[in-house]
Amino acid sequence: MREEAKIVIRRVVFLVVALGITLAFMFPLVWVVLASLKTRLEIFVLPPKWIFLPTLQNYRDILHSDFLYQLKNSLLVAAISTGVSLVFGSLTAYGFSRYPIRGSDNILFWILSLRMLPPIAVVIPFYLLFRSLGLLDTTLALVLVYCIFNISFSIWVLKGFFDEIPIELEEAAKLDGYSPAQVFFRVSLPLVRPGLATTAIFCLIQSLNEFLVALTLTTRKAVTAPVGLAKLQTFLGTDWGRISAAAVIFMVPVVVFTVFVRNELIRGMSFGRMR
Amino acid sequence: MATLVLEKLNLWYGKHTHAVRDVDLVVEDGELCVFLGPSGCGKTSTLRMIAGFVRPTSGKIYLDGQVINDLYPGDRNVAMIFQSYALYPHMTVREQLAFPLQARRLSRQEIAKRVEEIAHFLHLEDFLDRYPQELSAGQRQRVAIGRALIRKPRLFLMDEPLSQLDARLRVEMRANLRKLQQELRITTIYVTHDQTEAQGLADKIMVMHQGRVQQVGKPIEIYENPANLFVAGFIGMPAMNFLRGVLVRGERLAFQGNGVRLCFSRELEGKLVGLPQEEVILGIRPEHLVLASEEKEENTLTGEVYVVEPQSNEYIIDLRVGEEIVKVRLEKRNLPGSPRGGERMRVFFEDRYLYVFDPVTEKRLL
Repeated sequence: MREEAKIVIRRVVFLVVALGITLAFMFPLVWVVLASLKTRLEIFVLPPKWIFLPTLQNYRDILHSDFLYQLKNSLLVAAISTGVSLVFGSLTAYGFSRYPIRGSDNILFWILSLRMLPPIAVVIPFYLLFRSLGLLDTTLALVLVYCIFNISFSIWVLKGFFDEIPIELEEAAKLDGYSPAQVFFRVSLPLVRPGLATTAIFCLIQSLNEFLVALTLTTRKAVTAPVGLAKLQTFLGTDWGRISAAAVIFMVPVVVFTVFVRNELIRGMSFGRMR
Repeated sequence: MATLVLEKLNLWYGKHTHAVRDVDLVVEDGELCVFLGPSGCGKTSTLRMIAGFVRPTSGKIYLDGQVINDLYPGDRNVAMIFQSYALYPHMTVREQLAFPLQARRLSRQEIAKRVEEIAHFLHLEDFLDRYPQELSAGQRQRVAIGRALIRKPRLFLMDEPLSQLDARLRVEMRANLRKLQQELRITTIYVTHDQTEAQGLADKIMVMHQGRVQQVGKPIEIYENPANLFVAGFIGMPAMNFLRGVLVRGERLAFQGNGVRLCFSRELEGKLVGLPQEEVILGIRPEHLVLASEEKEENTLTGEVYVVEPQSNEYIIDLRVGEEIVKVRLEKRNLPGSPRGGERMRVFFEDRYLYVFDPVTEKRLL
């Protein structure tokens, strides 16, 4: 009897703690969603109103502004740089994982160091570089910069996944009559799908959220959503309702993509062993 | 169907590891040759050179008279069963079986037909749409065999294919493999460290140790006529007893070891007298020792029973003879009752069952 009581208590404590943590993480999200549905006055009422008549005015406003165009820029830049990073990242990672390369540890560390660089340190050189190339305020410039960060990240994550594949699987495919390139595409790459999903999510989020470089390199044409959002803070004041509505819309693509690949993602995050 | 010839094959890993040394071997068409040896003896490295995963540092590999050293693995028409089976986790059984045929660009109908055939042959029809993770160890192994067989290879390579199965299934699959190989007459190389497996399967055994070939021969030859101390000790369960000592030439020749004194029959004495040296290692297999009567003097060892391991139909007895432990394998029906620890026991061996080795070169002298 006492044992059972202990188990029940343990379970209750676990649930309460888990619920607490979940609420703590959900709170800002809930707050933003609620704020996006409130009028300007209601947002600042103290104590906050939890029950109110929702309005879609903020969404209407934001959808009639430049925000959709900026969101399109963001998605374009993020998608292209993620795709490019996955292609180059997986090929490079496979090379490092499978072939003996002289000084590969040093080269890998150098690649990682690109990622460790604080963006503020390189943003001015980039600005000058792209100005002389005539690429300021273009999505291409952003894609290029994000690729530098994302490719190094992809290489590191994917190398771990390729290392996990037993070499015999590739040897078996070679004996079966497949060339090294075919072995890569038909055996190795399908087996790192969880790794590709994980890498894609991280690259996507990184590129969507990036602010500093986007702020510096764009002015009008290539402005991305985070920069656009920040520009809603004007000298006339900050329109929190519209910002909240924009933030909610901005979250949608990542959520959709995450739901889409969630099975792969769970396997990828837990770095499941393959046999 | 093919003949495999290895000629002075050498493999170095880096500058310091000489994994395979001067290996020469001929495997005839349709033969099953077992590479036998302890782990790290170079047997798997030799297999990997034949498969084409590593390039020999020197020497030649001939398959049907053609040098295949520089041929890509996929161009050798060689199939392999890996220790881990190496089934692709992302493919169903059907896809695994079709995979080697797709590489050969066969038509869809032809592939489907051959998959059905092989599945029927290996009793895999009910599992064709399952993934490897959903199969038992025995089923996985059959899939691995099917994937190797489906493209009708010239040469079949097997790297400890039974090591992942439990004891009962292993014996069963061993018989199946042998039957399969004999039916199809595909030249086969089989790597194992298990001598029972080697004895049961092989037409020919190549015993390896420290990268060198120790002996090549039929299973029975290897057992009856081991070329050196290593082979003698490696083949046989329990292992052969070795007694170190000197041959003392007096009125009659005797062996003096570590507290062991042994005199021989006249006939054996005649052979031993001819040996050039005094220091020798004597070898006697546990199964060649039988109970002896008290009055027998020649070819006998007397000792005290130390440990008795009862088996189903026999005892394995550790006999303390002088400072040495001698293992004796006695059938239960030849004994009046179970031997007890501390009991005195006298055992005898026939002349033809005594092996003599040189302690320095470890070569067999007699």
